[in-house]
Amino acid sequence: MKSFLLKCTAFIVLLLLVLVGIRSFIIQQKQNPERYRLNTSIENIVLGHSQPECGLNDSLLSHTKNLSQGGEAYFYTYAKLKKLIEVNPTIRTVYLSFSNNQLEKKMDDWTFDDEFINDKYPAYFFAMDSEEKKVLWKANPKAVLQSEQLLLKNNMVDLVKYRGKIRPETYWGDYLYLEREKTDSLIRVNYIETMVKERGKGISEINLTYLKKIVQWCKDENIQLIFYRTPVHPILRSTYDEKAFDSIRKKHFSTIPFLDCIDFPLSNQEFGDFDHLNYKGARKFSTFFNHVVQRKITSEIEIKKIISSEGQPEKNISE
Amino acid sequence: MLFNSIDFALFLPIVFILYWFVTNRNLKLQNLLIVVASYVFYGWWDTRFLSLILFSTLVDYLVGVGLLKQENLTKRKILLWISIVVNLGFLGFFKYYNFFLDNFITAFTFFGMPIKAGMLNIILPVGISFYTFQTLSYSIDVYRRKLEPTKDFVAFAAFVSFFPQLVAGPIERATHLLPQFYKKRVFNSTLAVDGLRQILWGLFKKIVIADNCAEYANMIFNNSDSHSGSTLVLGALFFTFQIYGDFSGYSDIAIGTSRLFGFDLMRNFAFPYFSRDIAEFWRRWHISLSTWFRDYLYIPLGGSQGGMNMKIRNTFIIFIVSGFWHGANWTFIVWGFLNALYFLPLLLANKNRHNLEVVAIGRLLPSARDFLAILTTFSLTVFAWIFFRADNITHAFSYIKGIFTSSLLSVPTVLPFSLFGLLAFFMTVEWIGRGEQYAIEAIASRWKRPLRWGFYYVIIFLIFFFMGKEQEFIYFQF
Repeated sequence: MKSFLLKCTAFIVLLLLVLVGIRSFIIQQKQNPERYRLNTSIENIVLGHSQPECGLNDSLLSHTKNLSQGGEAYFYTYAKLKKLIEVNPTIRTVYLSFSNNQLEKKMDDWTFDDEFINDKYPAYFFAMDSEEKKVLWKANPKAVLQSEQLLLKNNMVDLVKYRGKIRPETYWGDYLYLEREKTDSLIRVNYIETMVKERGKGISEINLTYLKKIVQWCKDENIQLIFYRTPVHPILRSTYDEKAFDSIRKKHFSTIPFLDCIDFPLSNQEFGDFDHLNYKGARKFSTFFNHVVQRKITSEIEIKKIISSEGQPEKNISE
Repeated sequence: MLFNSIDFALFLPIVFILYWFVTNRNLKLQNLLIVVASYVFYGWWDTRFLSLILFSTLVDYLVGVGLLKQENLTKRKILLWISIVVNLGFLGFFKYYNFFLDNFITAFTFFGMPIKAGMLNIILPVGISFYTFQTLSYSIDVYRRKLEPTKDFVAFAAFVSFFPQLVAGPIERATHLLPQFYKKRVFNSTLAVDGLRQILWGLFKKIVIADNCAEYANMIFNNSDSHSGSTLVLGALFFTFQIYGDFSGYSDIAIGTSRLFGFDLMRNFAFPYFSRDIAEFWRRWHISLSTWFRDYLYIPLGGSQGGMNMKIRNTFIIFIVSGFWHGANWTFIVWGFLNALYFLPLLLANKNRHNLEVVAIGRLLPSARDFLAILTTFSLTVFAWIFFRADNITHAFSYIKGIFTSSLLSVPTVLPFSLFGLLAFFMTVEWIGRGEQYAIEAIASRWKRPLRWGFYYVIIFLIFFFMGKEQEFIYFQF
């Protein structure tokens, strides 16, 4: 037994040494600030989840980079934001998505569920401080352990695949060109009922906490933070509890400018589904958003006026 | 608990330490630890069905005790039937209730007598087909006086619930496994190292081969209408390797884990894809189930003792029942029937006992004749797996129809080259090790330690870097 245990220990120690060596190499490579450096002309960044990821085509936005990523909770956005600002002093304004579904209870799962930790931990590990890693470890240690394997695997593959020339958008989000045009078929099958059912009751405290942290951090770093809401289909919009949304915003974030574009007029053909724009919608909305960014508009009333002047949505939106 | 999960990676060393360092001086305590560990292992998935295992254990234990005291043949038969009815009753209810009901409704409707009956929302308890057969083997062997019934309830409970093979086999015979619980286990370092090696190979088969093949097999089978004939062939091939990697990988991990605890489980796979005819394939695939059916169904039916008609009848029965054992779906029955058809020419020509030895033994490559025979058997097996994997019979036929189109000669739309590389590596290692109990067994005796460890590290890194999405073992559903 003694010899067996000794052999096993030696084998495992050697294995761990190799793994620690690989891990240290990856960390050293990925912590290089150059990997997070954006083009020096970038003054604004757009952050958020899948809605801005599909809705804002940054090739149409001057001096602006869209680093939104599907399924991203504020917990991960917070880590990403800190690292980006640290490495890119030219960034002066942060446009952060603040939408109804980001306050829904399901965002707790989007922060701590296995699937999301496995997806986000390997990407944001290099931006998280020890406090944030502790939060994840405490919430779901099993998923963090699984993600350690993915951390090595994914990053090794990235380093080999991109030969060290990794850009932030490779793993931290980018504009997503969405081709689909499923809105009409979703209306036909009454998919909205499923969406409403999946929401869960109550709000996500963890997402709210980290949103407050983002606000405080931007304030401390003297970064202009602006909330925005991308367009969603009128059918989905009608199911939102706007009163609750407004009350949270006014209670916690009354000082943050809010560019509410939820009712920006678009046709069914410009939506990929109820809450994501396809490339046609993104083209239209990004052109509009570019004007807003360039004119540095921060007034809620002004944005509403501009949207109204954009005209009514096309007739084929059926409810 | 899945073998390929972090939970099991923590569970196994804890049980190992308790087993060899805390409870090692008392056999009863050691057996009790196995029972507790096995119930934790099973309860990790769903605690509700622990009562089912416990009940089954109690019934068969009491039947055994009853048979010990009973000499009257009629009463002995009654006791045996109690065990059969209880065990098969549970199996029938949980696994086949909805299937039979659905088919009755269809049949009555077909004859113009529509009936109304509600389907039940039944969850199939994991591993029920495996432990049911294992406990049945105990009652039957005790009835046949092949085995002395046990009075040691803890040992019997440990035999029924032994965690390495509880949910997906090998289906152990009481005559082989139960006596091992009576004897004090002595730690054997060589066996333990061998066990770890077999676990490693099993994990490679499951995580690298099966899970990666599953991704493509699922993708192709789930959208079979939109793929070309050549891609569908590839999909069937991926499933062929998936099911082998998955199931034989599970068996390797089960056998290896048992060795760590001083137990010897029966072999379940013997490189079936190198078989030269379908009879050889069935001697090498899921051996514990094939031999179970042979001993408890085929032989009692008369086996090969009667004339040719009886042999044919028995062969079809055993293959169809074996198919049905896998699941309550016509696809499994057709799969069994198809294998019986494959077997028939060998039976008629009295060639079903050929090819008993390992193929091309002592040679690096097979002869052209062996190679062709292997290729033919493998192709037949791949074809049969289509029925096994398809959602229903219609799906299976549309899949096969999709293969035999002009697109069969086109370039497949799915070409995962890294997976092809892994499969080539896997089959090469399996071919080299085909004379052993498992592919990498001989490494211990033939390779020096640095080379041996280097190879293990390569396997570990392959597992690490090609880990597919954690998937349940296919045979859990059976």
